[in-house]
Amino acid sequence: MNADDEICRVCRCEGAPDSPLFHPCKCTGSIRYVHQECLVEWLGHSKKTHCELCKAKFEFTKVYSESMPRTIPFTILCRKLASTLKQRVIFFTRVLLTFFCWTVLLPLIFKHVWNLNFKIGDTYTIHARNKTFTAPQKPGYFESISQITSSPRLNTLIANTAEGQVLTFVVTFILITAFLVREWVLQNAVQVADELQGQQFENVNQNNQAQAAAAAAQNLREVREARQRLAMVMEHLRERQEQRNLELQRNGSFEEIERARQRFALLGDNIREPQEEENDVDVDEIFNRQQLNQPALDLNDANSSNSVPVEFNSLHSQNVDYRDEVDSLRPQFNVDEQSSISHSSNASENIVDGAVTQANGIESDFTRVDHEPIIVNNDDENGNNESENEEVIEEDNLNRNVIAEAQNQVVADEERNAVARAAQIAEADDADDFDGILEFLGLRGPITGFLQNCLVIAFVVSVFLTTAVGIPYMSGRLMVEWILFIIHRPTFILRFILSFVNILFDWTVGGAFNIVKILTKLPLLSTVFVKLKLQGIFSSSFQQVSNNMYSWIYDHVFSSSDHAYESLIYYMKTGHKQVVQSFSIFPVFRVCQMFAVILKDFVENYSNRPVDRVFTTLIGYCMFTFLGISYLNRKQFLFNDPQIRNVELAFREVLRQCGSIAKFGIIFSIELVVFPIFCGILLSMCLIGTFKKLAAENLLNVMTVYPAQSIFLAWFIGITFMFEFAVFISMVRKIVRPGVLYFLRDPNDPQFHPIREILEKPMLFQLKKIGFSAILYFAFIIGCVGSVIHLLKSTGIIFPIEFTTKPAVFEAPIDLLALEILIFLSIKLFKPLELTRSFWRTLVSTFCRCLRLSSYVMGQRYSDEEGYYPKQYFSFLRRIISKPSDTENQDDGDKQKAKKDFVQDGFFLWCPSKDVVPVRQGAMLIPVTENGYEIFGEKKKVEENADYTITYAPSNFYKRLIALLLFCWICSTLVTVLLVFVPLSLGRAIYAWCFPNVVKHDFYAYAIGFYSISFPMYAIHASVKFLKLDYLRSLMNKLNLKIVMRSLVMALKYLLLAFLGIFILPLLLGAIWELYVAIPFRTIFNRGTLALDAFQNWVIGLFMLRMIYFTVTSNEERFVSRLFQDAFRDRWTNPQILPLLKNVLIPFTSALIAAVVLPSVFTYVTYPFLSSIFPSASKTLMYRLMHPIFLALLGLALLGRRFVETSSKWSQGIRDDLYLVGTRLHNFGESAPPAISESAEK
Amino acid sequence: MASKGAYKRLMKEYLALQKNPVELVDAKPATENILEWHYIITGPPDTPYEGGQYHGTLIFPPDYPFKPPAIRMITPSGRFQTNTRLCLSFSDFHPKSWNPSWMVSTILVGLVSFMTSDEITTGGIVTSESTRRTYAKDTKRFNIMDNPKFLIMFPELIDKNREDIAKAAAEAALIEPQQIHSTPVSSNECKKNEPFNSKQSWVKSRWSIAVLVFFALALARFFGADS
Repeated sequence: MNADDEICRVCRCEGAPDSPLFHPCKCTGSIRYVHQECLVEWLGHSKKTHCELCKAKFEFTKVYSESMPRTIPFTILCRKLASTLKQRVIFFTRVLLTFFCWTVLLPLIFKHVWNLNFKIGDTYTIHARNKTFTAPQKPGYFESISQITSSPRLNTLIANTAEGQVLTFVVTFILITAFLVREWVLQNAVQVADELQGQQFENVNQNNQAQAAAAAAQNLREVREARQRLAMVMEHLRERQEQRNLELQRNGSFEEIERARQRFALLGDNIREPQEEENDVDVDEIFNRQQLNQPALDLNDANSSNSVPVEFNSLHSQNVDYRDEVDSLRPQFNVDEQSSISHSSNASENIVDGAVTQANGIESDFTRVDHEPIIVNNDDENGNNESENEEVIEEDNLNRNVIAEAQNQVVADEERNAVARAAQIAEADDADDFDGILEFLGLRGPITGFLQNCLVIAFVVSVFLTTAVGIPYMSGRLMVEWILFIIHRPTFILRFILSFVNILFDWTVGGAFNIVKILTKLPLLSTVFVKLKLQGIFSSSFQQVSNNMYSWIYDHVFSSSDHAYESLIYYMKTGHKQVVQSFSIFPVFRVCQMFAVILKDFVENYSNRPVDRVFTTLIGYCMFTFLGISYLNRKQFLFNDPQIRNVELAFREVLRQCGSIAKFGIIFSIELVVFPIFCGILLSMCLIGTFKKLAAENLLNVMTVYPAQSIFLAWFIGITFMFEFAVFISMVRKIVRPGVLYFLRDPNDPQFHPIREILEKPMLFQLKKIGFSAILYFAFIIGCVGSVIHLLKSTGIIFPIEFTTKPAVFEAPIDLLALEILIFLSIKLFKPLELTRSFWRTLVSTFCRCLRLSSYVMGQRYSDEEGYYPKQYFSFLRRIISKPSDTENQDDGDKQKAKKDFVQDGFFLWCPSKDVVPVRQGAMLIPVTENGYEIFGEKKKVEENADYTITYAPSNFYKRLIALLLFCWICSTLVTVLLVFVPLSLGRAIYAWCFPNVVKHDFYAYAIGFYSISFPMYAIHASVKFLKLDYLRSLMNKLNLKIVMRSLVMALKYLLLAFLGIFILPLLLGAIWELYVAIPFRTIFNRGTLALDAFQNWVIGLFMLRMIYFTVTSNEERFVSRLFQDAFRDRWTNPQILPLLKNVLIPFTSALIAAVVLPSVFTYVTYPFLSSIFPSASKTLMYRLMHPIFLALLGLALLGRRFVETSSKWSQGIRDDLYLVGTRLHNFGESAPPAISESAEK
Repeated sequence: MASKGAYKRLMKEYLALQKNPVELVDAKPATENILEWHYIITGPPDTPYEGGQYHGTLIFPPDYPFKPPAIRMITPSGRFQTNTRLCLSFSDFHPKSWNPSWMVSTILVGLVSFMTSDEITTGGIVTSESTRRTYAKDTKRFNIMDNPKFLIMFPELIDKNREDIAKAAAEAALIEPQQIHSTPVSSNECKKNEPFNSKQSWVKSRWSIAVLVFFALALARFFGADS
């Protein structure tokens, strides 16, 4: 290494005699060296004691001042102690304060805000009701809390606090969830463009591709044409400038941006006009517009035309600097004229010239272009929007590699940095977060900051509660009240309208009447009226006239129809009952009636019950959702001012985000909450009658009494079912050919983005999809599960299952034992997953052979399935027995002969060969010929596609598929029933024979039956397999003394281990449990039996031993687990148990023995002495309590040691505080600082 | 203002960068403020950013190298928001994950590597590859036309950019356009709105006449009632 390279990693300077370089950690290369000062400063910043990259701890030697006394003076100690105590007390009070604020004060505030919101909403009562709901004095959900103390006021306070806490928790949860979901949604969603943005900036209608096309369009042929148009534009521009110059002279306030803008727009209009006169709508036009509207940002100028940018530049520079308008334009115009003849590259040089001047312009007058960023942002968004049409690109690993290479070349150490980076960030973030949290909670930092935090949070949450609950509630309340008002008074609207019409009529016709009346009094016109004999009408007032009219109408219209009206009413009343009766045989009608009754009940009792409140808030939300959607669907701005329009755009964006979050939330909650509950309820309905107490009434009862618990249970059952179903589907996927299940989404598909799908697909489509799957699940559960259970129930053999939970059936914990040994063993031995998979594989393949579907379901082609023998009716049986033959091997004589009778039929299917093929309606399974020509339709050849393949399909293909499903279902059901039925009936018999007097318990019976069948079966299977092994046979041949000895030793070793592991250790552990925990507990509280039950001990001990074993061996790096691994490394034939015994088992066992025996021995030895001290204590009591006393003593000893350690550390801390002069850094791997400092002194 | 340590270190780094330039990356401090550095990243080959020239700033804190710089990119890339602080492990969003042994060159190489990944971060945006390519093609034009800082900081690149743009334009001109006439061109929207507006005003005037008549009649009614 070069001496020049020895530089400090922090300051990049070389070492000096007075500040030498150290290499304190494992890092090498350019970051090997560091100055002590730099490192210390950095450690002060980072608050770390180790290197971030290599994790090596930096070692320092402390240097104390020479005046340090050997022992610290007592006064100083006391002072330090007092100050520490003071700090602790302050900290403690602070903790108390923050705790009070967070858990009492803020929740109370929230609770009151919550109540206030509802109270305000409740005041919107339009019509008085006879019943008003008064909230119960003590809140229902905290009954246990609300009676804690005797004072009712305190009780309500406590209850309010508790409710407030729940409220706080919920609000926090919702806020955090909403925030996370928003982030998630925004990152996943490709945003939908707001059309108004397009209106705001007219040119956005052309998407990027159009721009690119436009750019490419400027070829040399079109240059001349463009020039001509441009010349016209310039002509206009010059005119405008002259005008504006005059204007400028008149009003000199040209500094204003707004004015400039207006002028600019004017200018733009002028340019557009001549172009629109030309009917040839050209790409130039787009450009002109773009550049006029978005002068600052045009993506495609760089590679675009040579003509247009010139124009653009000139325009832009005008915009930037009005004072130089004329000057800047003219030269450019000239330039343009020249360039129209010249080559394109020359022209683009001119552009650049223009751009430079323009850029200078921007710079010199930077403030003026301040309004531009708005446009810039919007353009960025448009850029985002463009990506809608295209898939987001996958990570390009190649690029990464290139970069990584570059990185390697640049800095060697960087590689390690990159590796360490992730962990480091996580770590740093953790520390950062923790500090932040502490400060936020108020445990750190200034107290005012904490109070400020509290206030802000109170405010924010109050605002949140008001907007999220209060306002929807209030508006929903208003809405509902109005609706109810109208429902209660159906004639209200009619009367309202009539009165309105009345007034209208009165005012208009009456006014006209009066005018005419005045006219009749005019001398000339009066004669006309007299002649027309209308004088009489206008002599009276309008009131009288109208009254007369009313009575005339009433007499002629209503009096005659009175009778008819009454009879109609009568028929309606009597007919109603008949209709109800005749319709009530339909269940649908009854359901409707039930809902109607509920609705009526609700309408009559609507006040401020919790249900009403929830409903009202929901109504409010619906209202706002409707408003928001209709606003978003509106394609026009509400306001014209561009500033307000921007605000409007932002508002729409917020609405849109809310909408997508709500959509996501709704779909997500339906799929993960509502749907499982639905499944769970269906399943529990299917299970009615399987247990003795599980009757329909009971189920309903439980659901009404414990709604929350039963809903949770239903959800749990449903989600388990759905999970099992998904597991089943994935298993089927492994069995069948890929592509068969193309219609079911594979969750492992990398192209599958569930969230994005939720956001992108329309709501109605998704709801339809969910509804469809709900129907499927319904059919599946009721048809496939419910029907089987119902059948079984009707036989009365298995169901109802009997079991009890209340009294333990046996003294010994058999359940625990079963859990411990049997389930573990059975999972290990039988491998239920593989068993199930192989079962299904056989089932499916067999039925496919039968139904000639192997080609479609399992893939490949099978010649013997592609036809049938007309005279054989049971050929499918032969197919099951014979092995599937490939198409190639057909030259056997027999087969040739058989082929004569063989009639080929069926057709071929062009079907997906992968599960991830996108589904196209009606184009997934196309019947084709063997060569791939369509059978129906246009008979053309299907396109070649790697995602599709051709398989054979027999005639009646779909019927056969259905038959396949049916057979599979029947077979699996039969097997399942047998699996339940056989062990259960056997177990029941054994159980009844063994324990005739014990309560019946079918779970035990089933376990007994299952294991009494399965273990013998497994034993037979295993022994058969074992006897087949060649190894054993050769061993038998070579049998001699040495091998016998070796196997004897092996057997002895195993015996020893088994003896220790199965008997000694569990017994000892059990005894320790009893002696140290159970017996003292029972002695002190005078409860239960005191006898030691060896069996029970053993079971508990076994359990404990297993737990200990698992915790010890869970970490493979640990010493003990490595010992266990080493012991059985040489396969199981030659275990090396000595180190294991020496290091683990013997110490552990002896410690256990000591723990059991020592206290007893101690008691035995010291009994005479002890009895003299405690004469009242009996001998057994002493024996019993001695163990916990020993434990307590041990604990005390440990505590004492800890105390000594802490105090020494503390005094060391004081020493450091008072007498520390400095530290000296060590180089890595050295235990002392280098002696450079002395050399420096020299 | 920069502390002595920061000044010294940044000067050292500048000298080191000039001595051993790093591939794809160029950076220098502003003349008046050594804490403000300007960098240029050349879009790495075989990425959507190929041929791009991305200009941005590193604003170092006064106590550099103990705190990380703020990283911004001014040239639009389709990957980052323009002129926005980026959240990277070596930017001032994460002072705790900073390491003083990192320097300008490592930061920039890290930025390039992050840019070519698709990791999402604050200040990052998601666009399609084609958009990024379009932006990349536009970067040189942007830098000399719409990026005043670039002109100040990298005057030597202006001429080169100009040449490159000309070259690109010439190349583009050679490509036979195919989609020109089929591109959807929005017809004049202003005119579309006009008849609608006039109709609206007409409707408005009709309504106001009706209201006026109504009030006149109502007035007559009440006067008549009085008389």
